[in-house]
Amino acid sequence: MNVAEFLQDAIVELKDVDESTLIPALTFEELELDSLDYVEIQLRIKKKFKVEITPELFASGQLKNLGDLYAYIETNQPQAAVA
Amino acid sequence: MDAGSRWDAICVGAGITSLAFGAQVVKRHPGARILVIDKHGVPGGYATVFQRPKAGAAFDCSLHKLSGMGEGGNLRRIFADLGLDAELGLKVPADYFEACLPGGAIRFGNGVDAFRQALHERFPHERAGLDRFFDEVAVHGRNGYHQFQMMDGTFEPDFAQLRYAHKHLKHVTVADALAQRINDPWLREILAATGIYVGGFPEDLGYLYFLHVVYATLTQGNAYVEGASQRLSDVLAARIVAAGGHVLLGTAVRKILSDDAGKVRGVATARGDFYADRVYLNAAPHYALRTLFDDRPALAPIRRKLKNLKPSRSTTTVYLTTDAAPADLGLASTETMIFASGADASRAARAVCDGDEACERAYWRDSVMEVTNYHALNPSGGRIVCLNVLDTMAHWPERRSPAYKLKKARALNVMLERLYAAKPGLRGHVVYTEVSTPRTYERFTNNTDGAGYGAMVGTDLSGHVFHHAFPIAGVHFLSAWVAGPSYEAAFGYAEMKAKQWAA
Repeated sequence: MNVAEFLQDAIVELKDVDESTLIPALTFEELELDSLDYVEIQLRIKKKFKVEITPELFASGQLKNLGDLYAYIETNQPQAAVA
Repeated sequence: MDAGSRWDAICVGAGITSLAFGAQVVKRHPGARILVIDKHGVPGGYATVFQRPKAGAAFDCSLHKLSGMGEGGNLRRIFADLGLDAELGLKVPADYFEACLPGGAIRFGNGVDAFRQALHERFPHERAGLDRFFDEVAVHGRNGYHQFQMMDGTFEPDFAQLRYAHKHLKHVTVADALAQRINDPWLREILAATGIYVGGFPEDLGYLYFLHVVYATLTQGNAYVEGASQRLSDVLAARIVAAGGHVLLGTAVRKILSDDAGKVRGVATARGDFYADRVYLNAAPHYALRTLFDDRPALAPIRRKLKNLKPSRSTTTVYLTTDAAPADLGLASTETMIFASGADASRAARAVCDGDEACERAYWRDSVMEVTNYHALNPSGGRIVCLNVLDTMAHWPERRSPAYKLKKARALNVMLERLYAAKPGLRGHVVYTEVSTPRTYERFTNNTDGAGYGAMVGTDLSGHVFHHAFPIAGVHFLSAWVAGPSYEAAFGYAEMKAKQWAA
C-alpha cells in the first residue's frame, strides 16, 4: 500500500467521507480536521512511515493539502522503510 | 525602554500562556529577548489577584485548582523543568470536593480510588455504569491527557482505543453520554460537575474531552500555589525580565504590523511601535482578528473559520470574606459543589433561558455552584471564599448602568442564599462581598463574551485549528483558545511552542 492509499484509508475511517473526494488538491481546511484528528494523523504517519510530522508543518502552512502531505512523507521516508 | 526597539519575539497579552511560553523560551535559549505587552496593570491575565486591603483580602481570579501536580503529572514535570517547584510553595488538599445535594452532603477524598469508592457506596445500584465511566476515564481520559506526549513520541497510544474514541465519544455531549450510562439523575449531576472547571455545562461539552478533564483533575494530583495565581504569574514574568526581556503593562496593543509580503514586523501601541519577526498572540482570536489586523483579503478564510470556534461559558463570581475561619462556620472542604434543588432541573432551566428572569434562574439558581474555600488552602491569605456559577454575557446590560448594578445585587443575593442554605453556619458571618460578571471578565481580558476558559471544547472541534496556515508569517497564537482550558493545557501548549523556537 503506498502513502496515498494508506492515508486515504485512514482519513476515510477518521472523517467518514467518500474516498473519491480525497484528491491531492483537497486542503485540510476543506477536510475540517479538528485538533484530535491532526494528532491521530501525525501518529499514524509516524508509526507507519517513520516520518515525523510536527504540528508546525500544518500550522505554518507548509502542508496545506493532501498532495503536500503525500510528497512530504515520500521525500522524508527513511530508505529502510521504503524498501 | 525606547519605543521602536527590536526584540526576538513580542507576546501580545501577559496571560499565563504568554508568561509560561516566555519563561520556557529563555530557559532553553538564554539570551532570547522577549517583550510581553498587556493593557492591564498586572501580569497574568486570569491568573491574577486583586487586593482589597480594607477587607484584609487578596482575591484570586482563577486559581481554583492546578491539576497534573502529582507524580507523573504534566504540570509537575514542567514546573520541575523550570525549577518552579522549588520557588513556589505548593499546597496539596486532602479532599476532592464536597457535593451538597438536597438530601445531604457527600465528601469525596482526593484521588480516583476515594471518589470511585464513595460513589459505589452511595449509588450501589449504579455500579455497572460507574465502572464503565471510570474505565473510560482510565483509557480515553488518559490518552487525551497525553496528547502532547503522543506528538513528541514519548507516549504510545493504542490505536484501536483512539479509533473507538473518535467514533463513539468525540461527537456526543457529556449529558447524552452520561444519560446512556447512568440512570440516577443525581449521580449524573455529580459526575458532570467538574465541567465547571472548563467552562461548560453537560450539554455543552464533548464527552471525550470531558474524560480528559476528569482524568487530569482526579488522577494526576491537585495542588494550589501559595500566594495564589499572582505569585505564579509574577515568578514567570520575573524569569523573562531577568533574561533581558520586558513586561510592558498598562499598554494596549493597537495593531499587528506586517509587510506587503505577508510577514509580521511587530506591533503598534500608544507608546510607539515595537519590532520583532515573531509575534505571539495571547488574546482571544475573535478579538485579535476584529481589532488587531488590517482588513486584508488573505484573512477572510480565517475569519470564516473562527465562526466555528465557540467561546466557553463565562462566570459570575462572588468574592467574599468572613469574620471567622470558614471551617469554624461549617465550610470545611476546600471545594464544595452546591447542586440545584431538583435533579435534571438544571438542563431544563437552561433550555428555556429567554429573558432576564429565566436566565438568572437557570444560571444562578438552577445550575451547580462551585465554592472554593481559599482560607482552608492558605490561612495567611485572609478568610476568603469564592462562589462561581457559569453564566453568559447575553443577559447582562452594559457596565455602570443602573440595570447592571441592580442585576449584580440580584446575583449576589441568589448566590449567597444558596450558600447559606447549604452551609447555614455562614449566615451573619459574611462581612465583605464583591461580584464579578461576564462584563468584568471581558473588560480585563478582551475574551469573547467574557469567556473564562477560552474556547468551548464541544462536539464540533473544527474551528479549533483556525490558526493553521495563518496568512501572515511569524504570527503565532497562544492561550486556551488553541490549547484547551486549564493551566495544564496552557503550560503544555506553551512548552510545545517553546520547543519550536529554534525551527
